[in-house]
Amino acid sequence: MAYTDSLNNVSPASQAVTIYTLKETMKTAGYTVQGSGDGLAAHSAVGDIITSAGSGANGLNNPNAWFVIRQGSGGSGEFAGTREWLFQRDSASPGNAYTWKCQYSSPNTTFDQSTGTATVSPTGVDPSLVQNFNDGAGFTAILPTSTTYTFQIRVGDSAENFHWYCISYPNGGGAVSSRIAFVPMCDDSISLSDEDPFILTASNVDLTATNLINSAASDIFGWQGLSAIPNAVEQYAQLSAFVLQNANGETVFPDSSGPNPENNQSDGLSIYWGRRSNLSEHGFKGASDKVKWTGTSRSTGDTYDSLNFIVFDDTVWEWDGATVPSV
Amino acid sequence: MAYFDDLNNVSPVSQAVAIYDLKEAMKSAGYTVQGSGDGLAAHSAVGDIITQSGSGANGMDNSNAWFTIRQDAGGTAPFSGTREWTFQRGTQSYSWACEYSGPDTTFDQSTGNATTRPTGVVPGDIRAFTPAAGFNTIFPTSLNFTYQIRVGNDAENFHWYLIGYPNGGGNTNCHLFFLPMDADTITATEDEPFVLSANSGTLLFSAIGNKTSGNVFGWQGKNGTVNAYALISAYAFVSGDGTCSPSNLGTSPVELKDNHLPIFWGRINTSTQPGFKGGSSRVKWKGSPRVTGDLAESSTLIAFDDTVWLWDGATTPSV
Repeated sequence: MAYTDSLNNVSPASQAVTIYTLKETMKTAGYTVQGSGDGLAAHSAVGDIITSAGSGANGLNNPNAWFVIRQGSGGSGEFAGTREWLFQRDSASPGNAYTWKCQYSSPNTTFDQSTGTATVSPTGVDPSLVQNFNDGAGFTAILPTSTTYTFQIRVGDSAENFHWYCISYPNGGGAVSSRIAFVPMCDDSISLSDEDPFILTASNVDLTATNLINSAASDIFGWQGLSAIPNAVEQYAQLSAFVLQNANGETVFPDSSGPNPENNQSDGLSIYWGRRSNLSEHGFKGASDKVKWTGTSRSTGDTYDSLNFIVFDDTVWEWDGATVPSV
Repeated sequence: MAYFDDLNNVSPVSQAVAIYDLKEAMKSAGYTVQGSGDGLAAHSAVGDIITQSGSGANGMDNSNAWFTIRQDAGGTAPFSGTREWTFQRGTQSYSWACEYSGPDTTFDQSTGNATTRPTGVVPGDIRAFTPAAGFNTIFPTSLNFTYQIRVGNDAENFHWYLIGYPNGGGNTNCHLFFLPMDADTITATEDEPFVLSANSGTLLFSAIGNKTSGNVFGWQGKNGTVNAYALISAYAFVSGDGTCSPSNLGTSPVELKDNHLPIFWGRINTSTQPGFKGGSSRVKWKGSPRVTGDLAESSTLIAFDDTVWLWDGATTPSV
């Protein structure tokens, strides 16, 4: 198991610093930049020319600056591959450093770097398989509009099935103010024929259950049934988290299960994802044990199990077991 | 994997036949009768003197006839052990006392006789798994029902069930079961990863998910922090669009087969003895609407109300 981390980033100079730090952390974890443009004149169709988080030449904080980064090598089965993510800063001038376009290549295509320039991000080799994972077709606010926030980045390698996240919250604590994440489903919860057992998001919406269960506004995306099996659904869709309720109409997970009756420790429970049968592209996506529901209500930034888990709103994420988070 | 089955029992001559069949299926699976009494004069403090399901000498269908049966040897901790169940008939064939020893004690066979079921070596650990202590109606009062029995041995973590429904179909009208939690859903120090039940209710979520009347029981943190026997609720999966599982998840977007999700069990934090019990993949929520007796996945699963249970992969159930 190996994560590469950039933790306790407080009050960045601009929101572009967050995306830049994510890129650098991904590179350290073995992910590779496939192409980039600084929104001015610099461009590479093979690598990374973004060398600073600021504005100006080779900076990420310029209108239309962009990069495409590919998952690390290795991995097993359906988790391995050449998935790529594109991040492009707001096209307006000067625009907003909190506004980005975020696209995902899926496992079955890549971005065509021959179509990119210094100011234009590339399209997909198969454009139909490239999808946005921010809430909208173009540029949307995915980071807090104020820079008085703290962000935490963890990027997993093949041993972590390429799980990564960048999550922020206001300095001093409070509800999550942005989340950019790529989350693998548990191997034992998915079909062996599912070619893309991941969900992803880039949004400035928080991680409370109220939002995550909303199939129209969860801002959680994923492929439903991307598979070689004939008649599989093969649609990219917005997914819901499922909370757990008893028959008395009470939600138990998240927040209301209480401590484990055996050891009095906090319980977290894997989150199950999918779309209800009344919706198009319905069905079960999978379960994530790298992101769980809280069993007991806790504040964002709380840790438990010897710093191995951190709470973000109603969810629990893997932490490094060592670092006390800034809150 | 090994289950010992007694399937498609239609219209028994008495409800005692169902309990007798359960005993015999358990014995076939390696479970051992520890003591028994026929409610008349026959008694054994070491074995089984119940040799037939009817009334009369050595019969199961006598008032106060009883037996204690123990899980088979073998298995791995925390599922292995010497757990015992005692079944005693009441004045009616559909009325029974059902008691469970838990993992830390056994029934004291020296306290039983032909008409009296034994108490526990540690009496406080002996618990009813019927809705109330003593005799309860756990079967339909009519004999117009069909029941299915499956008993797993140690390879199945001692999962067993007896489930009945009206001849011709409909919601279940009795269930007796012992259900192990999945090993990866329990803590390393859990001593008792099971839930159990015996009653004449349904297996609808509205029944087994109810925190005060679900009639599914289990130990919360046996020998741990809570250390209490309590009613355990089943939890449904719910999105902002409504309940997804059971019944409203639709088919898998990959294979277009029914989605069946494991059932998670526990008690909400506003209850006494709160906390998460575990998850069972041997009994799951059905993903799509199906009627009791429907089969799925090449006959390896059977639907009972809102739940699906492991089936034998071969037998067409009588409905």
